[in-house]
Amino acid sequence: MIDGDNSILPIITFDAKTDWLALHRIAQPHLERAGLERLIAALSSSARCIAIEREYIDKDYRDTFSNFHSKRFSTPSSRCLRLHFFNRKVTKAGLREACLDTNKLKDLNDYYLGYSVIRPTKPNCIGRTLLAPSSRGPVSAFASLCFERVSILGTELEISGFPFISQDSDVTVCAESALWMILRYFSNRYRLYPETYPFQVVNLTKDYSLGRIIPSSGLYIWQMAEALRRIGRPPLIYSRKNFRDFDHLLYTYIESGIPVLAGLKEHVVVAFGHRSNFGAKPSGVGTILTSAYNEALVVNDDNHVPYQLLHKTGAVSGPGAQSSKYRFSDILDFVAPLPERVFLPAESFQTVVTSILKKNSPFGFKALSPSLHKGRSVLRLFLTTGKSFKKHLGSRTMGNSLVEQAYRNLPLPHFLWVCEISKTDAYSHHEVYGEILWDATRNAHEPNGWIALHYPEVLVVDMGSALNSEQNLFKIKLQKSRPYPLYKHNLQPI
Amino acid sequence: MDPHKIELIPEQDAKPEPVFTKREEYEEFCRKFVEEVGPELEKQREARQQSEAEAKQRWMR
Repeated sequence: MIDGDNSILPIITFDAKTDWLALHRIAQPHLERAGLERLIAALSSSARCIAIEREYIDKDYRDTFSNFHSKRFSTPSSRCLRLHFFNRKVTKAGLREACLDTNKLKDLNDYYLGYSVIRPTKPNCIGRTLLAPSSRGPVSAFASLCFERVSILGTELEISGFPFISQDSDVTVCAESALWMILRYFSNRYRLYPETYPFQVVNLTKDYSLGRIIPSSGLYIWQMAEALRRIGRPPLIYSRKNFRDFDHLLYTYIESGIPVLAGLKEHVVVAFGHRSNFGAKPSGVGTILTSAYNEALVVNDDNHVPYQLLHKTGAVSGPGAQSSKYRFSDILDFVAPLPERVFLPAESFQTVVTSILKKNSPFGFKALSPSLHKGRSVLRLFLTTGKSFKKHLGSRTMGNSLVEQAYRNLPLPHFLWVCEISKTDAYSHHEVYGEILWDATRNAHEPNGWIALHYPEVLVVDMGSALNSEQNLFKIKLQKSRPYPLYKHNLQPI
Repeated sequence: MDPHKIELIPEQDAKPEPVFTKREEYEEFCRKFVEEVGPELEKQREARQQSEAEAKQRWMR
């Protein structure tokens, strides 16, 4: 059924007579066949109704139109279409009523799957897109998500997801598209970062380029890194052949809620989530790093659809719309855009943890924790803010009320590295026994980056640096400690 | 207010005890720590330099 075929907002509801071809017809001349096929691949399992917002002025396309398309002899339209997807039938009357009734607005929002801007660009028409992860069907993964408010004829809906855009092959190719996705995530998520449009993304690299920058023929990895630095996210670059724990470090940044640019042979995607099998029994006998449970990364590849899974050993049933054709070993390097005040990289924190936990260390399990000394330990490393860590102390209980109160009182740095300590059985239930907290604003060579070390039997706290003076480590014996929930507020379940 | 008099740990039966009772013990711990992590951090520094150099050759299109 099509409501208002010739109106400014025709609404297609799929039924026996109306399918995706109706969208293809109504969305002409913007929506070309390849774009339609990508939408079907992304949304066929969830979308039941599509509202087509005609004459839409898209801020990102208008930016490339003004700076590039308008300078051509033959110019495309300056306007776009914006498609809004719902998993139930929606009517214009329903949209209007939702403006006046908060219950109806909430119901409408529950049906909303997000939007996709359709640009008049060839060969790729899919512009700025923000879809709810649920639009692709169940994933059972964890991912970084951001939030937007969307107005449809004055009715304001909300959507969470990870931004997506396809390259237009003129101003942007995969490199600029991947940069745009990561930058839009940051500007949506944090007030600190400015919204950056596609031509501005290109301009971020102009001081590090030879020759002309548009039409774009691609970017070097280091140019992409420089663009991130200029926007206030100074990045670290890791290449597989130089870092022994490459996959673990990649996972650690994603687990920290930091989306990364993952470089393939001549292509780049954004990795921002992971799917892990917490019930797995990793092989070997030593300490397990939680990256060992990781089965797949959640990626946005501008050549495909949002929320693809990039599997460790390749897609089980072969590459499809929802599964990337790549595998972990195809990722040759990655760029991790860190917050400005994170000076200690993941690999250095891991070195610090290894030193603290080694067998003959005065702070190892053998010396301080008989309970953790038995069996295989599981270590989960991630970065978070002191504010967020404190915010969730109450709900997590930290296994011991004294630890919770001590952490609550401790002045914490803006960013801290956390190494949660668990055992295989407890970790399968998402529980931990303790953690090491380390100041992420420290230099790796400083032995006094301590904030705290917590085992079931003891809490070691640096009361000196907490008060901005010389390191002064104190220990407090703990009794009746219990396992408690791991910290899971960097990513959201999808 | 003397910052050293701020109580960070709530009152409880088990009082906080210093981890190192002698200054020399603490200094020995610091020395060993730096000595131990140093070689690995140096390897990491080299790995980063190489990664950054290679990033200048890696073309994404």
